[in-house]
Amino acid sequence: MKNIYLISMFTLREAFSRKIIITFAGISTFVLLLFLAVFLSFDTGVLDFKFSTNGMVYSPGYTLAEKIQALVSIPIFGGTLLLSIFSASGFIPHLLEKGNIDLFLSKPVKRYELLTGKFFGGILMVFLNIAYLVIGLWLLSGIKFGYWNFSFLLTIPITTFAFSVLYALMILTGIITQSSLLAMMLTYLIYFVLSPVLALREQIAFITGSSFLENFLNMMFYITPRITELADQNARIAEKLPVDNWEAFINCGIFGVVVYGISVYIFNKKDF
Amino acid sequence: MNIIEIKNLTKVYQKRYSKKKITALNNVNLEIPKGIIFGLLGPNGAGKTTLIKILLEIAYPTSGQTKLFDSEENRTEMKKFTGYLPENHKYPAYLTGEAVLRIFGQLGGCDYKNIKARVSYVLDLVDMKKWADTKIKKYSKGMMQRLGLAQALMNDPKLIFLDEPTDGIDPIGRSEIREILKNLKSEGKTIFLNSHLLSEVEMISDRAAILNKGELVWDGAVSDLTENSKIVRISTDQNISDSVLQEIQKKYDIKKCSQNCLSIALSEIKDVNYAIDELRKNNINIISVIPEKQSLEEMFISLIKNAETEIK
Ligand SMILES: Nc1ncnc2c1ncn2[C@@H]1O[C@H](COP(=O)(O)OP(=O)(O)O)[C@@H](O)[C@H]1O
Ligand SMILES: [Mg+2]
Repeated sequence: MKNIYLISMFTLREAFSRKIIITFAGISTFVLLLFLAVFLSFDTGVLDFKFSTNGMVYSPGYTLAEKIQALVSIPIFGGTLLLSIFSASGFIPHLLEKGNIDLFLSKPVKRYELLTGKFFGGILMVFLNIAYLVIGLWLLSGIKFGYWNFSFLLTIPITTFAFSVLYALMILTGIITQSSLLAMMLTYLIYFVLSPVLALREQIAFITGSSFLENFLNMMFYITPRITELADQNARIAEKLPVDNWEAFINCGIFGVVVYGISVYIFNKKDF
Repeated sequence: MNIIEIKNLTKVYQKRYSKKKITALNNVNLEIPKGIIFGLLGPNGAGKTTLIKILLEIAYPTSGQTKLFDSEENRTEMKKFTGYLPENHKYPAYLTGEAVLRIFGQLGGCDYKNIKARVSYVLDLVDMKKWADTKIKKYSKGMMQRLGLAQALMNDPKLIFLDEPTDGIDPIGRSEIREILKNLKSEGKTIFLNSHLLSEVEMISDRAAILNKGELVWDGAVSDLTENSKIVRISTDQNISDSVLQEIQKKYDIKKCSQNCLSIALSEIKDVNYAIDELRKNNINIISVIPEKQSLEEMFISLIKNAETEIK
C-alpha cells in the first residue's frame, strides 16, 4: 500500500511539474470567470419568489438554476474528459522510457503496485481538476440563485469514473505500444466516435436494414464502454432525475476492470 | 557464501514485429562471492546489461536460474538490499538532485525519518552537495552519473549493480569513483560492475568475467591473470638485426618486436638466458629484462578474436 501511495503522489507531482494541472486549472478558472460574468450581467430579482402547491415548494429561480446545471453538466463531462485524456496520455509512455522503467523495476516494488500507483495518481489528478471546476460552478450558481443542488456535485465522481475507465484503456495501449499519441487517439476514437455511434445503433440498423450491421453494432455495444450513455445519466442526475440506465455504469465498470486486469497481466510478463 | 549464483542462464529476445530472435545470453554459469568487486567485461551488445536486468527481474530468463543472497525468497523482497545504477538512466528532468534521491530512496525502502540524513550523506559521498537543489536538466553527463551512483546507494545496499558507471566522467572523476567503490568494498559490500573499459576493471576488480555474444568466455581472479605471465620484454641499446631475430625465433615465440625491444613468450622463466646469450654473442647491450604482465586487454582481445575465428 505504501508503494502505491508513493507512486500515486509521484505521479501527481509529475502532473504538477509538467504544468498539466496548472493548465487544467487555468482553463477551469476561465470557465468559472465566464459564468461569473454571465451571472453578474442579469438580475434574478424577478425570479426570486416561491410558491407552493400540495406541500411542494416551487421557485422559478430554482428551476432555472437546475436547468443551467443540467445543461452545463454535459459539456463539463465532455470537456473535462477531453482534457483529462490529453493530460494523462503521457504517464505510461514516460514511465516506460528506457533508463526510467529499469530504475523503478529495480526497486522492491511489485509491478502491479507500480501500475496501480500510476492509475490512482492519474485518477487523483483528474478528480482534483474536476472537483475544482464543479464545486466552483456549484458555489457560483448557489450564491446567484440561493439554491443548493447537491446532486450537481455528483458530476465529480461520475466524470472521474468515466475517466478512470478510459484511463485503463490508455494504460493498456500505452503498455503495448509505448506511444502516448496512439493511446490518446484510440481513447478519443472510442469516446467520440464509437460510443456515440453505438448509442444510436438501433436507429442506424433500422435505416440501413442490414442485420449483419445490427449484430456487429450490438456486439460492439456490449464490449466497449458506454461513455455517451454515462454522460446522459450524469445530466439526469444533475437535474435530480432518477438513474434509468444502470447498465451503462455496470458496463463501464466491467470494461475498466477487465482492461486494467489485462494491463497488469501484460505488464507483469514484459521484459524491459 | 556466493552472493550471486547463475546457472545455465539463457535469454532469447523476440524482436517485436518480426520473427528474428536474439540470443542475448547463452547458457551462462557464474558464481560471485560476497564482499568483492566483480567486473563483467564485454564489447557492446555482449549481454552485460541483460544479465543485470535478469538478476533484478527487470527482464525474465528464457531458461536457467539465478539466485541472490543465497536465498529462495521472493526477488522483490531481495531488492531491498540491492542498489542499481542503470546505463543511460533517466530521471524526470524537472526534479532536483535531492528530490530524485528522496523519491527513489523511499521506493528503495529507505526509512522516511532517516531520509534527510541519508540524502545528505550520499550527496557528500559523490561530491554533489552543491548541486543538490539544482534541477537535473542542468546536470552534465558526469553529474548525472554521480547522482545515479548516489541514488544506487540510498538504501545502504549490500549488493550494488553498476552498469557502465564511469560513462561520461572525466579521468579525475573516474579515479574518485574508484575510491568510492573501494571504500564501499571495505565496508563489506559487493559490487557488480559492467564495463567495456578493460583498464578500469583491471584496476579495481578482484574478479572478472568476459562475456562475448552472450557467452561467458573467461572468468577468474584478475590477479591470476596478471601474475603468472611468462612473457619477458628485453630492451637493448641498439637495433636487433634480422639474423639475430631469426636465431631467437627458432626457440621462442616472439610476441612483439620493435627496433630495439623484444617480447618473447617462454615456457619456463629460466629459458630467458638463451635469448640473452644470443644477444650478448652479437655484442648487443641489454638495458633491461622485464617480465611482462599479460593485461586483461590482451586477453580480452585474444579471446574475442578466438571466438570469432571459431565461428568462421
Ligand atoms: N528489450 C530487448 N529486446 C530485444 N533485444 C534486446 C533487448 N535488450 C537487449 N537486446 C539485445 O540483446 C543483446 C545484448 O544487449 P545488452 O545486454 O544491452 O548488451 P551490453 O550491455 O553488453 O551492451 C543486444 O543484441 C541487444 O540488441
Ligand atoms: Mg549495456
